[in-house]
Amino acid sequence: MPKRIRIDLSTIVIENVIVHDIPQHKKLDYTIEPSYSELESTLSDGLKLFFKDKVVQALGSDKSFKICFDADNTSPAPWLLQELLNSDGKNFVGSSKSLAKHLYETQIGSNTAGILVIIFGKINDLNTCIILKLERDKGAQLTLDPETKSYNINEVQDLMLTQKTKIFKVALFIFKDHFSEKFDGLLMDYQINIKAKNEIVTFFIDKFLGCKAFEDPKVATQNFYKHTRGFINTIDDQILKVKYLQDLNSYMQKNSNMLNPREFADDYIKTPEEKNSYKNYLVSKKVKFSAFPKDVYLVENKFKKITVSFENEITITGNKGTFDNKVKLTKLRNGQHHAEITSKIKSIN
Amino acid sequence: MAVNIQEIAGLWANDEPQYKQLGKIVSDYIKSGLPHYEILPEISSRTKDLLSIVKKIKKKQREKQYDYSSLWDKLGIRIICTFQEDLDKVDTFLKDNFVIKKAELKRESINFDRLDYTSNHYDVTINTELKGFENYSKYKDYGFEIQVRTINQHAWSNTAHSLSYKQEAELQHSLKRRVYRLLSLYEIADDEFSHVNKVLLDQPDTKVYWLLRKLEGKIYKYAQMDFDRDISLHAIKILMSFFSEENQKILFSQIDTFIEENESKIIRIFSENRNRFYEFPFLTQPEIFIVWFGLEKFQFSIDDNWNNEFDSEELVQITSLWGKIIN
Repeated sequence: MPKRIRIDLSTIVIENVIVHDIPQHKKLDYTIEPSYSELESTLSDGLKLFFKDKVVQALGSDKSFKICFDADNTSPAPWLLQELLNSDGKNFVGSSKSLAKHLYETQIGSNTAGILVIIFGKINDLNTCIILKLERDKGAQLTLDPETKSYNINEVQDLMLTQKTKIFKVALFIFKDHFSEKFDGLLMDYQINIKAKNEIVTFFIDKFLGCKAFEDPKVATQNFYKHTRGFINTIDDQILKVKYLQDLNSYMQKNSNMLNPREFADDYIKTPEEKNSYKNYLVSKKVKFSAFPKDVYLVENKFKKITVSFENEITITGNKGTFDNKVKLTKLRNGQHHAEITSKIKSIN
Repeated sequence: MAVNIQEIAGLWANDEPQYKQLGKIVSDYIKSGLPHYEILPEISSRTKDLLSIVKKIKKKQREKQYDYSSLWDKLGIRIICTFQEDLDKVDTFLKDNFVIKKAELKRESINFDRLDYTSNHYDVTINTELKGFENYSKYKDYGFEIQVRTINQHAWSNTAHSLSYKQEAELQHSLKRRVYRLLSLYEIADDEFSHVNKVLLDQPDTKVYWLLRKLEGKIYKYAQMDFDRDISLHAIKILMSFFSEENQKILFSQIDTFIEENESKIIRIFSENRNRFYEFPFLTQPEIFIVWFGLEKFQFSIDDNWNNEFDSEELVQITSLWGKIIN
């Protein structure tokens, strides 16, 4: 079996670029046609590096995740992409037009108009294909009038990417056999991490690219929960341990369809040192420190309650999100803990 | 033997442009090669003027059989190093990259009571089998001299030259003694600078300086340029404050291995961005390696503290240059 290659985003080299313009249109209304490029775009070396920077920034984000082609999906994108990767980019222009046509047909009125940028190049010296969906923008440009020695402001149309803007949708594909990998690519979609899982937010990965998340969300969620709990159990400070456990339970129940260990660390873990330890712990357990789709099916019953057991055989059990407010835990000088509950006794069993 | 000045003038008129061209080729070769040895000495080249050539031949002919072709320093390359120990690195570099016809390591060969403190001299030709010289076979028989010295040796040499001290025998005893005294100071200064340098490099308790000295050679090697020391001292001091004591120890003990293990990646990043260094000034500063190390090993120590001290956009750029390994 060939040696597994560590995919390094810093090795991306952009070779060919083509751009197609996809207009906004109502569902099944194809009267406004896309504007296809017939030739590759010419990019200076500086612009190629600029695009590379943007792609690496997006895919290097902790919100990107691995994807694989979905065998049950009818999108032609997997086939077109695999053909491109296998043929060293042969028929790059034709394949890119087919991808653009498919995007146009996939989009509905609620999808904004956009520019589809398709890049063929190398990563780790092996073929890669990168797909970016950008939106047209306009801006204001300063020009100095040497005669009046004052600035004029001009409107600039058709801006597609600036130093400050982020790429909102980008996917990178590899031919997995070359890398001895099981996934087909990486995806970064800033708009996918919102509360509602509906067609608008999933069309790019699902309908257009014909892909799904590489890791089974049920298993990934279970691993994240199990090993984050494992990390919490390594903490000596019992009160902090209770806090983090409640935090984990709250995080698991957040109204979001993605989970992200990085986000959990940033939102709940106190110090950079503890965050580093958390990351190292998860990585040592082979849990990826990046986002993945959430599915709590296998762990749902575990984070609904929190139980604190004391050495004197007393146990306190609280429901989700209530423990922190209703049980006051303090550490005593002798190493013991003091628990304070102020309430009416409801029942005794 | 009479010196045929017209003949020498004719030969030199023909040779001088060739030697000038060769001087540029060799200087460029050394300038790009020596940083790989983690030093960045000053390098200059000069061709001798006709008058000096004639005078030298006349002078030498008084002592031995000597003619225009015997003169090796028609082209002279000078390499000026900061520390004495750099001379050894240059010696290795020259032996690896040139055909050495004669090497004179002066300090070793001078008697203890001899009045001198001069550079190492190498009579060489280019090695046309090496990449970088392979297209210059027409120069393969052009001999030239390479002088290698420390800054102090250079200062001494220049001053001594102005005082014409070399006419040792003609100096009064009292003046000779004063020159000896001065000479010893230069030699002591070189030894002391070397000593201090070694001590600082061996003592990680002077953390900021220790790291800077450890990493500056890497910038010479990969960026092939000098850097701003004030910026580095300031930045390294701040970066150290991001790390716990324990993580600082890990940084000190692992930074070399980290750079070594990622060398091909580092070379690629510097080479890819060489034309836009001006966009990423931090890329040409030694502290870049600390940031990359931090991002790999203690990501949150960098991420959580960066914005308090540095421009957040810079971290985005540094991170994207380093990329990400997809495991």
